[in-house]
Amino acid sequence: MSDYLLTLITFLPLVGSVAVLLLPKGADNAVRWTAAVFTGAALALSTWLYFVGFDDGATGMQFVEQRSWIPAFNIEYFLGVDGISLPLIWLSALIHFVAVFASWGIRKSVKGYFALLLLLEVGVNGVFCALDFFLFYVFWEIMLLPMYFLIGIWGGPRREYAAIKFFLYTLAGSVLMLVAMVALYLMSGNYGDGATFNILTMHELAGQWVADQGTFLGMRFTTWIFWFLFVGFAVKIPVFPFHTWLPDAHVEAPTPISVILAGILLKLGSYGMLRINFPLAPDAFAQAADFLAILGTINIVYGAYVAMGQTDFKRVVAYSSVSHMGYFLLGSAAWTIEGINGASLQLFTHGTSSAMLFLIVGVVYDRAHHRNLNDFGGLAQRMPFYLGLSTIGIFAGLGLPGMSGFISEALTLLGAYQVYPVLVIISTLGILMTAAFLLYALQRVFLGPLPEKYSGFQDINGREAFCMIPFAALCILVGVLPSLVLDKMALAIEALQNDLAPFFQAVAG
Amino acid sequence: MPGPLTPSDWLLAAPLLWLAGGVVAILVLDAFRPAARHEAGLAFLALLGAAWSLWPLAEAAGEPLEGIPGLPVRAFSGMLEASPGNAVVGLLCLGAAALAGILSLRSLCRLESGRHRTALWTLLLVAPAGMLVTLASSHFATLFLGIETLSLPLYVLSALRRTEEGSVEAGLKYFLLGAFASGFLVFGMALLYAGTGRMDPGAVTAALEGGALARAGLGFLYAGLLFKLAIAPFHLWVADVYQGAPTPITALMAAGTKAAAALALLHWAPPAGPLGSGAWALLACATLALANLTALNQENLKRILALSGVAHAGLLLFALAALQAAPGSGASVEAAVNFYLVAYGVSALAAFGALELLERRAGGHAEASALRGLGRRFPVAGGILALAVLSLAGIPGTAGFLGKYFVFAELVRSGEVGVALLGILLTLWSFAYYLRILVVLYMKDAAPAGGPPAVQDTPAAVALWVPAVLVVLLGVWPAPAHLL
Amino acid sequence: MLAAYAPLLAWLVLVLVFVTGLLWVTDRIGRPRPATGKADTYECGMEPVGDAHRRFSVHYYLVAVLFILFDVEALFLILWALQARELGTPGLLEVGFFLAVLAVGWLHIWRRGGLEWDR
Repeated sequence: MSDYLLTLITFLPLVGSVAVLLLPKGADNAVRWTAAVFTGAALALSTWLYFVGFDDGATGMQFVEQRSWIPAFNIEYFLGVDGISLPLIWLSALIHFVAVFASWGIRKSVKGYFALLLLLEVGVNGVFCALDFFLFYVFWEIMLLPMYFLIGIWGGPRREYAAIKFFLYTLAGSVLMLVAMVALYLMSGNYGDGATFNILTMHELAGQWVADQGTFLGMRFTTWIFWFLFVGFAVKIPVFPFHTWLPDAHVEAPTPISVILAGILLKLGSYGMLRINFPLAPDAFAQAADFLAILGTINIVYGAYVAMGQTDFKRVVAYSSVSHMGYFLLGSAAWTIEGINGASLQLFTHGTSSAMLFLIVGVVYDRAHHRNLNDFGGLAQRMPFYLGLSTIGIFAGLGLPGMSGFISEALTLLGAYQVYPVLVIISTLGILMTAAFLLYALQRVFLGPLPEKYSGFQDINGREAFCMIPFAALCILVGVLPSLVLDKMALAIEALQNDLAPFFQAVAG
Repeated sequence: MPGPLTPSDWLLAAPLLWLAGGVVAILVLDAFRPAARHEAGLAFLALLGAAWSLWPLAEAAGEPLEGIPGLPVRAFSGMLEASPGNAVVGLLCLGAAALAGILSLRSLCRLESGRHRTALWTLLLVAPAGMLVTLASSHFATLFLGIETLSLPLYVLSALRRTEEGSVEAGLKYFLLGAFASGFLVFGMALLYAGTGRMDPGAVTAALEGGALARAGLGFLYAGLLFKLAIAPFHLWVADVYQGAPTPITALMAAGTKAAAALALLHWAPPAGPLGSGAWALLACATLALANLTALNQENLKRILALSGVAHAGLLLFALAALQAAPGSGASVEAAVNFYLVAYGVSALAAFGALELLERRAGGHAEASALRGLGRRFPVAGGILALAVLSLAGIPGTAGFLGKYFVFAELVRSGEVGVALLGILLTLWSFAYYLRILVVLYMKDAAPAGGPPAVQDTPAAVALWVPAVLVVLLGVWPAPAHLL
Repeated sequence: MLAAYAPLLAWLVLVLVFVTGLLWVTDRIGRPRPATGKADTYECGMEPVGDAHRRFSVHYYLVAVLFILFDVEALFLILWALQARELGTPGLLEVGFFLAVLAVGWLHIWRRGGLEWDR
């Protein structure tokens, strides 16, 4: 089985998607349980992969599957997992599994909804597993569609606008990626034995093609490749100024889709940078690092600043995501071991805490049918259990020591301080503001007098608790035992850091 | 004095003989037994026979066939020339005719109590015969013969709903402009022949030394060909004709005519030709831009799909630009074009076919307002249309993506990275109206059900799965249609 | 050079001689018998009195189009006839096949009532 493990993790949801479509009309419960079974199976397999199958002490890719796919262009079906992708694969499986249960209350076209949700998981898992750039791109785009429909059909009042905006932004980015991909493929033909889309081979060849003298749009090869790829991935993260689709998409998307969007889709851009963007154009990355660090700082401060001014609970959380993803950029731009570790851990911890925060918003929205923070109050009296879980989510989000967010942010800032002390000092301002707006939101929802109209609210039910508890547990567990994730990543990150470090020395020297 | 027919001649003539034989059989039987309903059966038999006789060539990727000297096959003293990839496109044309036939079984066949049956089925056989000749033409005579043979049946078929204004307008418009274009074409051929003394594609290359006469002829020839392929500025007829013609016929035009005309253009724009890479790229960009711009504010889904077809034809010219920029890349450019045509063809067939079924549910209207929310009400037809639209847009996992990818890869390979980037951005622009179709189908609330209930059309609903499955299959496993 | 046109000249002379001769002979040996019918525009077929804008059956146009269609096919026969000896039996068979296909079309038109324009 372990020969096909990654294929199974990627394509089991596709089987589930087809199975859901084949179920008779009206069998809504059967549809939900089918979705739960298939996402659950993917979760079980990736849990086995994470804790048992994966060898922490081995370098390089594991569970590799390699087969020829489109021979005319030397495109391969090439999957593999290393320390950088492993936590994200597991997180993706978990978030999709939870999303199925969070979607239990969807009433409109249930079959279509779950079929698309499962298809989305195929795309996401595929992106994390793919080691052939072409395959990576195919999965990258496949993921776009279900998301477009899930926002556009099951979303809020301005769903069409949000869906199209999301689609066009992401697509614009991936078009640049496509051009860069073809150019890299052709460039690889000049160096190795034959042109290839193999990301690992390209990584090895990158050291040679940095010397290429050809120019395009007045830029050297690696420079324009870097920027094309960077914009493609930055849209997804999203990096300021490409972030404006995110709040709209979040506000209109149904709760489970927001959870997936914040929890795992935003990580794809960052993963793409670590896997493809930085290693394949290393010298351009080293030269651009200062700029990226500034962008990251802008993300942190600007995201938090805008979040403070929002009255829509979901918008607050959406902008907090913008802020939190800035740490990834800042940490990786510094390119120190601590920085990259912190940045990668941030992907995981933000995945859990933001998923949790969106679930929290979903709970009040389901009861009150609005998200206006100024209109809530005193819910602590009616919903004590909910208050408890929310507090965990919010404290994890603002980086309280002992919670997962603290570890990743501290590591990131520690790593970045060695290179960009001023930027780190500025970004601590972001931490302050994040604490402010999250606590202020907590206060407006839970404290104060309870308005009459909310007196009939029930505390969260078993299903809602079932969705939130895994994330709450992870927030605390990773906060106390970060080595659970860091140990998995250590070797891969060290190798990556070593590979690119000479380019940073060259820029510094 | 030409000798007896060689095996090559037979190979390329056999599909035509099957189709012509089908026509003769239908006419003879109809003359003596007008009441018997045999036309459909005979027509499908002829199409199957033609496909069967074309199959060996389509299958012969890279290996010469028995008794035939080398690939591509040259027949009738070089008047016809076809590679295995061309044969695959030929199969697409035959399939398009078959699908148009199946879609007509419960609609056009019953028009005016079935009195146009004979005309419908014979013309549905003649049109693909013309397409097969056109796509393999490598002589002025076969080019003209093919284009006329494919156009004349389509003029008639477009106007088959003769009691409807739109259909008659489509037929008339198509006929008048088509006749005009044919005039240009034949005039161009005459001038080229006068200037260069040649009637094979070499005349195009020789035209530059052939003086003003030949150069003018070249202009006329390309104007005629670009009209058939609907390249700006000769694309204005497309939206009206596609909209007015009965939808099954539109499907045939979109998939078949475009494929045949595009391959003809590829034959008649040899590498190192008189029009340089920049000229083709300019035409391509202009076509894409105009088609996108026009499609953005259309209300009728058939018009949107028609203009999307124009954009796709424009995109194909990028392949010609790549060929001019890197003349050595003939084989791989041709493979890219063939695949692109098949990918576009199956997507267009699925799109127009599904649209036909939805149209019937909406009382014969293809306006966005009439089709609101129908995708959710009719999940299969709606799903196939959505899938086809995604393929036309070029989403990975569908044939349309790989088609675009192969063309742009050729362009980047030829060194025209800037043009490729511009082309990709123009393609991106087209997403705006593709998404709109999806919004209409799925995100709007359904229009109140109106009009008479549609006839249950099982054959059409079943046949539609074929292009739909091909869209996905070729998207993940392109090897069968991408012959290098 | 001009000698090549000699047969043409001979043919022209022959035609002139023949036509004028014929007219001359009829004039000499015929006896004039005047009658009202001979003064009509058309001696048979059409009644030349009445509205010039008479309505024709639309089917007549179909017949006219079909006539042109089959008339033009005669062009191909000329090409064959010029080479008939050289093409020999295979040529005869081929043109026969061509005519047979035409005949099928004609048969179909005839059986389906395409020629009955006065219905």
